[in-house]
Amino acid sequence: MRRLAVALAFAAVLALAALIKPTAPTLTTPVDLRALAGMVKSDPALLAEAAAFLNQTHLNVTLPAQPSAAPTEMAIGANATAARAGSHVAVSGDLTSRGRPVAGALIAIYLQGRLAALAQTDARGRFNASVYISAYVPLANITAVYVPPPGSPYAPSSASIQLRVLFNATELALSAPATVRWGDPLRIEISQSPPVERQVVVALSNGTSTVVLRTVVRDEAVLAVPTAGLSPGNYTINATAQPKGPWAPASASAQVAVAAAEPQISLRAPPVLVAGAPAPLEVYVEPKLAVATFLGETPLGGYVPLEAPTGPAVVRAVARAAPPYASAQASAQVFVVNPMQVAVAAAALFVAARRLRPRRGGLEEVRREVAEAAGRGPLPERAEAALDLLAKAFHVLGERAGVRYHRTMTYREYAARVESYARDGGCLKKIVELAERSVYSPHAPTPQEISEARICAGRL
Amino acid sequence: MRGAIIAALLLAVAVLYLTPSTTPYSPYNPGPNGLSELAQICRTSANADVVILAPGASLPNLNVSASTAEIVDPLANFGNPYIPAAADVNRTALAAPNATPLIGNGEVLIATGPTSFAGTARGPYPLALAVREGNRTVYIYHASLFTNLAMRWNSAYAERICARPVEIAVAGGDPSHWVHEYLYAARPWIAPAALATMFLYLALKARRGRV
Repeated sequence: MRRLAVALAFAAVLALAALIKPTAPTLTTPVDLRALAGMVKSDPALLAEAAAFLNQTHLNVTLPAQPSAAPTEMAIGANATAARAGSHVAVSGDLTSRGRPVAGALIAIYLQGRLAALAQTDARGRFNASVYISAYVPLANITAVYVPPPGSPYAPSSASIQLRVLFNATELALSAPATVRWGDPLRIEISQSPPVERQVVVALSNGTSTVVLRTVVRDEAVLAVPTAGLSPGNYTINATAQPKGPWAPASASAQVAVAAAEPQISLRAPPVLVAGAPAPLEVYVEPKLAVATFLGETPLGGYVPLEAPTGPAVVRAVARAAPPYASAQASAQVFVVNPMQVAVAAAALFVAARRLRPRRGGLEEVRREVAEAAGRGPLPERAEAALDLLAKAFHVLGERAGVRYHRTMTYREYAARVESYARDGGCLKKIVELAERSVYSPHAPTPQEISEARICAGRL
Repeated sequence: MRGAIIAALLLAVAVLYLTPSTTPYSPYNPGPNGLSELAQICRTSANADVVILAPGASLPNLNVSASTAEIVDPLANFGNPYIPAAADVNRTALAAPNATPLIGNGEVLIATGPTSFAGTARGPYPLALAVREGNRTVYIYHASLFTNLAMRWNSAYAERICARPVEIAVAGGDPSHWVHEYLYAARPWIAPAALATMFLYLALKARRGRV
């Protein structure tokens, strides 16, 4: 029966859990993707904006085509076979499908794999675009790609041409010390040949963070980079001269170590910390730096957090970095005692102890008191049985009345006090008399009398 | 009977804990729209300076919320208009599957492309904001950037933001999500509570055995 109840209750809880569905919000979506694609294609300014976004993020225009789409053919041409870097080239072409022009198609034009322009075909399937030549390679690929919008009946296609690019190579040189003390300025010397006034981007990177500086250089320039804002460590300096018209980009790199001094730090902590109480920690730092203390990952504001769990923990003192000194830390093992958590366990122990301790006024105690009140040595077996019946009767009535039997009372005195709680007063009287006779008379009760008294005790 | 109900409840909690959540953007959901991969690489903490906000959830103290209007981009996307492309301040491309706009004032850190749409209104829409609150800055990211689906493109970015503890704010949730949340919040108390329960159980059992 009990197992069935467990099974039913479990089934009910699981059913309730299954009925509760996630209440996450339902997203509202635009349904007509073709209309949205039409809005994009019909707005030349938006197309230019999109082209710039795709170019900056190095993304391609990618849309899946329908499996049953009609094949398309692309033709592409340019107004020149060679062009100077930094100039514009007119690119044009046709998009057809089985010999028929495809009108209103969006064409993405890439120069050396980077999106350079977006164009749309006219009613004759013809497209025109002006491509800025920003590639500094002897032969650059210009590729036109047709990307059909969602739901289009046409398949994608592409075509490429090659363009000879005319440009001037340039050189950039970089000079920096191998080591600089943290906080001191880092002196970077940049020179370029031939002299061209243009922007040079200098990036200092330690693998996790990068600092970017920009300066305009003609032939030589010196950059003083403050290092207080950098983290100590090894940095790679990359300088890139931006392309300018026919002048190709150039780059150079160098290594520098930003070195920090190590402060001295020590921490003394008591072996035991109490949650919610002050944390008496002694921290020594040379030189004087701002210090923060933590218990595990939790900051210690002079006090141990009240939610700190009981158990072993690590206390840390962290000296904040301040140029030219690096951050440093010291740690100590402590044992945290959380009074609230300990109180829960202590309360459980207390309750357990209370429950496990023999209860006062229990049947055994009443038996002992009844025997002590008799004040006699070993009694015959049937006399002991009569006293046992009396003890059981006194225990039952004592529980009801809330009055425990004590050896200082005679059997009759106690019977008089609890008589009103007995369902059958006559039975109580009979058991008391039998017990008295067993104790004080040389005649032991008969088995018949014991048996009758036992039945009588059941009626109490 | 009382014992039976307690046993059933404990069993149900255990089953719900072992069952993965189906709540979208839940850190306990291992499905494509869950954040379980992010939860594995990030340290989560309440009141962190980095907040991952799921659609429909809000941060009333910062006056920032995530709308429920899904963003689509028919042009700049990751192979599907429902996975619009977004870019951070360094113009790094990020995928934002099933993203919705963040609503609130702050410096925009990540935004969708100019050809993105929420309804018929055109973007770009912010997907990450830096909001000043007193003397601290809270960085709020849309949860779509870090779903298990998006992690195939954005895992490097996720590792960067996980340099600090993050808080994940999810609207609603199934029972499994909430059981995980409550057990996570109650973890400092689980050990003493289990000890107390064991003592009480043994005490009651011993008492019954004696009588």
